[in-house]
Amino acid sequence: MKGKKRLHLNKISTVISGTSYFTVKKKLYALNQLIVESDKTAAKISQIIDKLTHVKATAVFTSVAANKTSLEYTFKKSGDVLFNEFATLSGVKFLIVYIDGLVNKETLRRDVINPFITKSKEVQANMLLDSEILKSLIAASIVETKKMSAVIDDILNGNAAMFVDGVDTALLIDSRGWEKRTVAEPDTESVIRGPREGFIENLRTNTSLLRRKIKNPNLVFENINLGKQTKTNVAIAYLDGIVNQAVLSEVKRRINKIDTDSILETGYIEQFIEDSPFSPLATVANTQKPDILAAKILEGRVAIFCDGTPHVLTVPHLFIETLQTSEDYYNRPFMASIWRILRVLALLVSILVPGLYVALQTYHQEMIPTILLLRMAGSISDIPFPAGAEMFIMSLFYELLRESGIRLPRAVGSAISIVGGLVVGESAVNAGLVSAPVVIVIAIAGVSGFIIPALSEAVVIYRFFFLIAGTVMGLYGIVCGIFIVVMQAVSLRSFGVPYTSPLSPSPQGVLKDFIIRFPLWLMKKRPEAIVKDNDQRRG
Amino acid sequence: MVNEKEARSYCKRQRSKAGVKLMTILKRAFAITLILAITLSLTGCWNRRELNTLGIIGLVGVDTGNNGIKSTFEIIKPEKTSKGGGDKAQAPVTYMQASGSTLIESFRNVPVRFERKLFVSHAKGFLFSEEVARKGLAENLDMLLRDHELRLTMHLIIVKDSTASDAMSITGGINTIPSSYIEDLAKQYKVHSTSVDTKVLDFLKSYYSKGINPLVTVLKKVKKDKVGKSGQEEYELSVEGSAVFLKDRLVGFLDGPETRGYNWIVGKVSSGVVTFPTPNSNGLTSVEIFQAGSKRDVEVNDNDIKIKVKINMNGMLDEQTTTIKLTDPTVIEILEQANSQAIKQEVEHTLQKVQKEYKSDVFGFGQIVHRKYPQQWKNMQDNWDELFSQASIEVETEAKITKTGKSTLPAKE
Repeated sequence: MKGKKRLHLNKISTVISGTSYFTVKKKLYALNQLIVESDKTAAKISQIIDKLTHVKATAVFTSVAANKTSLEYTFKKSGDVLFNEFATLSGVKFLIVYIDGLVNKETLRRDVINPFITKSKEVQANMLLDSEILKSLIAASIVETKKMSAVIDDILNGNAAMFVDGVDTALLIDSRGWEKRTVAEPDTESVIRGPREGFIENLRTNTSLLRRKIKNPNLVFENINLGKQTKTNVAIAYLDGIVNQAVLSEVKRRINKIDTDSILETGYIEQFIEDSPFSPLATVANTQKPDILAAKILEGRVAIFCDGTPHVLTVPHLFIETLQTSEDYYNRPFMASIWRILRVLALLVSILVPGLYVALQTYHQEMIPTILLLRMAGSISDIPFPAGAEMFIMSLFYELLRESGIRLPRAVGSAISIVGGLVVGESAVNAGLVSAPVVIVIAIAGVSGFIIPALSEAVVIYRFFFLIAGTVMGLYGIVCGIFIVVMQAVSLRSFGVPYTSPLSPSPQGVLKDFIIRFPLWLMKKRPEAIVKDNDQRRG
Repeated sequence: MVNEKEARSYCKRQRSKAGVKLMTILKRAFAITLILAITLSLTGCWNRRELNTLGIIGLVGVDTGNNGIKSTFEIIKPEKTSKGGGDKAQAPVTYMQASGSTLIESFRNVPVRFERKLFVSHAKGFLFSEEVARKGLAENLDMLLRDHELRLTMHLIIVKDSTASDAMSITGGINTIPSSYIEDLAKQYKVHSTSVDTKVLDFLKSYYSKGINPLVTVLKKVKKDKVGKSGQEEYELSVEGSAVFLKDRLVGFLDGPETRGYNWIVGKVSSGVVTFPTPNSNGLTSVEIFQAGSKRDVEVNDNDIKIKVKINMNGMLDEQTTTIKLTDPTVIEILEQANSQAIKQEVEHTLQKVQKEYKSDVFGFGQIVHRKYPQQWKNMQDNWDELFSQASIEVETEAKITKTGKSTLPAKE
């Protein structure tokens, strides 16, 4: 290399006069120095870039470009994260970052970009560096932050982040607006009398629905983020002054202890915070209706909302809640009480009847009235299975039909009723594979199981439990089963409140909201077991 | 802060609970097993048997046989469905006969020729032929008391004039199953009051008590009246009358009116019609019994026993074949007297027949003596039936006609 240079030098000295080897060498040295320096700067720059990209930025940068690079790296250049760069007429660059689809672009353009560009004309360029002035330029609610993590969280939640060149604060603009279902009547929990509206998948809409029911400054929503990956917004709602503080702090403690990747539905939360995970009876309730939720909160319960699901949890959950519906309170007490009796009956029928039928038929024929016994004997005379096995198979078939009825698309749904009703019900009986009483018993048990939706899971488990008990040990088995089930239920606690609470332990005086629903003007107190103090409802 | 403290103390409690949790679980498990194990001993006879392995017995008939007892069983065939209609003329039952030296032996001899286990819990009645009953029922009832499947609420019936198996095969009414026919027939006593309805338990109660003897339902095979054209001879059953027992032995029968006399005395008349000749006129009057009651009393003076029966009746004049005017209260009074006279005759006839002919206190006057004169009863109890047959009788009857129906004037002009 040196040889080559010398060769050139020689050529230059001959061609250009007035140049000397020394000056050339001097200038070359200076050039060399410059290159080394620029190399160093380049290294520094690359170091900074490295810092920007590889090290998580904690603070907002002053430069728009730096912020952009940092965020681009954070979002892994994901396609739905949009970076809009603008410049004011005075030449100040600014950047708006948001996630496509989570932001209402129209309001963003109307309230943020346009006023900013037009108003900034009147303001001197150096004034734009003051965040207070920046805020006044925009017609939207704004939160300032210097933390990069807050910026990222807000962008993920549907806010737009605005950076202005030369300012080390980000402006978080509330511009949320995404596709959501309208408030509609939930498929489950349908009513004849009472409000039709139900919760939707949007947390804010849901909380607003509740707020509209309880216009009280004491109604508190506490926001929490759960799920390391999903960062789901969760809100704990309660009515301060009525809520049992011990229950509330226990709810908070349990929720704060949740350590999981994702919360996709309140069911996730339920499983993390419930008292007895292995109990067939749930100790956490859920509802889709604001009026029901309002009533429960007014009885001192705590609600847990979760973004992305219409199901809202309420705790503590007591057994009697499963027997209550909102309509019990909207209608006059007579019918409500009759319905409660019917529901208790349905619960018992659904759980016990298949087991009882088998027990009576195989162990206690003397207890069946003669004519009924003869009918039964006539219908099962050619059945190839023992009574217990027959009932078990039919119960299984019923559950299969039920499950497929839920999973099948609506259009095919009618096929299930044909297959279920005709093939299993009619043909199987005619073919002599199943006896008619068994089909009837399963149908009755199945149908009455739907009367208490809150217990539908437990009912299926208990039905099979009692069926097995009745098959193996007859009435003795059924009685033992009742013994076990009741004992387990009585031992349950939901957030410190006994699960069977107004029954056992029972408060002094009359149970005003159990089987017999007393008139509202007689129910002067809130449930004692839940509300410790301030239990006066009226009077 | 207070809340936090509360929560913390709550957690502490929870944790200390967890400490003793294992102990409590063990304790609970032990308690549950113990309770379940103990209850297992309370279940009694208890076994799994599929319904289609059972032969459901409707009736048991007991006759005398070659080597002691010949039992007939009516086993009900379970009908498939009522859809087909089927041949209703044929009863859906099958009969099995077996003999043995004891009753239970005859039961156990059936499965040799029958493929299902006999299931007696649903038996409606036990039929004994007159012949068996005259020898004494106690030896046969021993098995009824011991067997766990048999119910003491079964009807106990004595078949008069024919064998029990003969009576069992007859269906006269609408019921296709003979056992249901007989059961419903026995329950009809409430309508006509000329029979009694005895359960095995009633018989045993009277048999074991002193001062009363059993009176038992009687079943009689009678020729069916031919209505219209009908080829062969048909039979039906009649429950009219009753069988009088002395201890466990059959001593004789009462006919229909005599049985109603018995029912008057013990206050079991609930319905029926009293017919008597209309006084001062050439016709009959029928009064429907609305309500009837009785008061029984016994007076003992040394060896003189006086039985007092007081019967009252309340009824509605239902039919009269004369021209008397019922608008006159005195006419009603005369009719009432005639009515009570008719009852008195019926009752006195029954009492005398039972006293003189059968010498068996089926009314339970002895029990009244026992209650009223406990000291004297000790000497009397062993030969009470003899004393009863010599007792003097005093019957007092009172009838009231409270209604005369929709019409006050006689139909006859």
